[in-house]
Amino acid sequence: MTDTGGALLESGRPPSALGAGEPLARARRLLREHARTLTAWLAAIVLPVLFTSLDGNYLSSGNLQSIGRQAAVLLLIALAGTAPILMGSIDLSVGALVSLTSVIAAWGAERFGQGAVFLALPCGLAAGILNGLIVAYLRLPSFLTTLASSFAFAGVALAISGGFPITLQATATTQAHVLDGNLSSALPVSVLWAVGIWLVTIGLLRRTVFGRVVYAIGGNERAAQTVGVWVNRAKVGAFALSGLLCGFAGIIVLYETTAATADVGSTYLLTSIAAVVIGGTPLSGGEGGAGRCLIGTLVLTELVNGMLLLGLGASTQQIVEGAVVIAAAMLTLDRRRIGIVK
Amino acid sequence: MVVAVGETSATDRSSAPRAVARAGEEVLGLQRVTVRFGQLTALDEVSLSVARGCLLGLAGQNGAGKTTLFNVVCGNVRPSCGEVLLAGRAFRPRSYADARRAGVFRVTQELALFPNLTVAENVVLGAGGRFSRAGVLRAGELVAAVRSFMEEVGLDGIDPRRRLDELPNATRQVVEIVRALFECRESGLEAPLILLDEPTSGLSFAQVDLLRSQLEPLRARAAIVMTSHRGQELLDFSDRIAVLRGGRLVAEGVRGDFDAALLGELIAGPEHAHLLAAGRPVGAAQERSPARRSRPDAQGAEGGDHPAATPSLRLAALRVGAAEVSLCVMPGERVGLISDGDLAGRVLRTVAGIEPRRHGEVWIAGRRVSPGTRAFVRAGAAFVSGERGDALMLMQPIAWNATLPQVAAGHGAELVASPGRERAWTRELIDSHRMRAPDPRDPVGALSGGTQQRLLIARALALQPSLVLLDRPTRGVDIAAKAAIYAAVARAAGRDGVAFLLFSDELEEYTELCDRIVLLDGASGAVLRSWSQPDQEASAASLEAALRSMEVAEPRRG
Repeated sequence: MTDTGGALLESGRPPSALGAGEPLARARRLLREHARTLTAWLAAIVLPVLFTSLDGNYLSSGNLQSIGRQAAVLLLIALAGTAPILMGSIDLSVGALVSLTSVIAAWGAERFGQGAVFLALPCGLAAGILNGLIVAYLRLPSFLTTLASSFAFAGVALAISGGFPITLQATATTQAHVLDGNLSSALPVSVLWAVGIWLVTIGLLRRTVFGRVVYAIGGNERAAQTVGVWVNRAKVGAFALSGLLCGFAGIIVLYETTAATADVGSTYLLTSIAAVVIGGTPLSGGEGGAGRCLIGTLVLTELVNGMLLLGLGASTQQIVEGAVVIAAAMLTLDRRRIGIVK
Repeated sequence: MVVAVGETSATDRSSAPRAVARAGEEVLGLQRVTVRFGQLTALDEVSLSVARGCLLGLAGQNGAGKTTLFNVVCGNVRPSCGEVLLAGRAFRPRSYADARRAGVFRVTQELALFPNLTVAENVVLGAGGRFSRAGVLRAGELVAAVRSFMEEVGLDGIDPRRRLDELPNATRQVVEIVRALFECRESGLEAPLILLDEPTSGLSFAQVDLLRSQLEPLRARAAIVMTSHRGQELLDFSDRIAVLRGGRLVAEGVRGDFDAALLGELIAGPEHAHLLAAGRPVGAAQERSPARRSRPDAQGAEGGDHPAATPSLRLAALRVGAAEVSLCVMPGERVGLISDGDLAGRVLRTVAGIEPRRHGEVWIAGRRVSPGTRAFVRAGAAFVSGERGDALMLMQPIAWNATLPQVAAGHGAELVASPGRERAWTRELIDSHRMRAPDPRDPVGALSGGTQQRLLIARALALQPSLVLLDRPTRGVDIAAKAAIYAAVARAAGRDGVAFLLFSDELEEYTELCDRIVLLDGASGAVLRSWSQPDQEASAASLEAALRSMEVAEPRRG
């Protein structure tokens, strides 16, 4: 105890917890771990209550379905952004990559039949690997790399589509049903897909060596490097995962809209980053995780859907969304600890 | 709560007392200052006085209250009881900015300077307005003013036009002191109070000497309080010395009242005095002899030509800068590497793959190792650094930090897959090294420096390595943690045959920890001398003499 106490004193922090018993320490830890997600949880509960009181249709099964469908897509894209953010990097190409994979899926389906929508997955993976290779081995900042590659991806998408929407034909096939239809009368299949992929991603980041290395890079890259962790491979892996998840999102988006355009994903970029941050994963890396994406996604989707229902214009929506992102960043980031903000 | 001192305390509050102190006058006075954090008393009725022209050396372990004392004077912490006087007036700064305006400057290792600017720009940064016209900086005037100021204070050896990152670390701290003096003069204050926070930690002998010589002309112009973990340095630098232990002032007096042994005893306190017996921590002293006995042949293994055993580490013409180093470390051997300049430390970092390696071979346990940290770790070796900020993920749980080397070595999958198993594994590691640590889920940054360092040693040894490189392994840790680290190293060497290669900035560490000490020529990398212990007992003094003679023979660069 004296040992620890001394350290706290030396660092100048008031060690008010000194001498606290074990249960108290546990309570404090729980509170510290969940303090940042608390606001998001509250918002997720308060928003539906608020919107229902303003418009009785909010909780109708039709609207809940539409919230589910919107949230499914956003969740997948937020998950895509999570691994790079956990490393302290960022992937700004998720929006463009969703457009690209969506266009490729539609183009594949048009050419080779429905099964070819899955072309989106290897394409997304390859694009992610390309991002990762540039960041890890050419040592360029991820911010710059992915911003630049997003232009390239959008360009490819435009070239394939020729500037026109590619419509998905023959939606009555069984496969369309697996990807799109409703499981029961109320539960869209895309929600199941998203939740399943969400669970797998949580496991991948929380329970595997790859995930641990991702967290370690975010926590202290130099420390990870010094003990001999495969930092570069993990970086490529994280961006590859991002690309793959964008591929999934591209396919789901295609079935949601039944037509792919070269800019279908562009609106998702900021919203998906917002979902990650609102969930409580700071952009500084090393903390938070895939699990928290769900709550961030829900809050944002509820908000957008509610405003739509109330008939607020697109301009108001954008202003509110922007304000929410800044408020969320304020609530979730421990700015005292980060010290310097650039 | 506060004992009122005359009428000043009522009126002065925190406004800067712009009094002028003459030589010999008291600049800083502490009157029965007490600081409590909850149940813990960090400072207990400490009274001190520092006059202009005086350098007070503040001694004490981690947690003794040195930092708290600085925090009080800087306005970061408010005393629970007692009074701080600055130039004879009650002084209650609300923040460091407040304290600065009153002439209190704190200089830490993490300097508040800009490495990408020149010395002159750094010095005038606070007073830049004077050298600009309509917002445009007049560089010539600025350099001239700083140069004349440097001459005035007797530091004309430092070129104000040089970029700060071209200067040695010791001089950078001096630049920060010069800036403090300059700011004081600009604002009409004559004698600032300068608080030097561990100014010598991480500096080589040559740099410590440089710091001392550059500090010399500045001493008369300020009151200086300096902390250091090294007793000998406080004796070298200070006019007066004060010793804190457990928040209490246990001794205070002029330098002549102290010698190294007495100071060590005062710092450690009666309960730790036994650790200082014969000048070496008890763990190392006990473990040394059995380790020796188990390897009666270790004596002949110096050149690597021993037929029976494979060396744990062999360096063949390893190129580090312009130097070329060849060396052998046998299993169970603890070798210390000393050099002038920074060669010894760079050798360790080059072997560990942290600095690039282009020429020369590294063999670990009989196998040739390619460059890079991954290859080094996979060869069954570990690197332990005293730069804890570079080695730990401070915000991450203790458990994650403990298992990270396992993850790197490819044994981590099972631990990572189950948080419960990972915690249990960490708990066992902590207990087996008898460390005091809270829950493995707590962030590692909440541990004391000493415990963090012990965790670094423990997690390295948990890899069952054949070789461990120790790069200043007890940097900034208290004597109890130091003794525990020495004991762990001695145990691993004696019982498990782990080979150690040490680089340190404390010569005592070599004599306490090593079987063999190798002195390298900083320029060529040639082995100049080698001591074997205990047959050829090397003392810290004889090492220092050898090192200093080299520095004299070959004047330092920069």
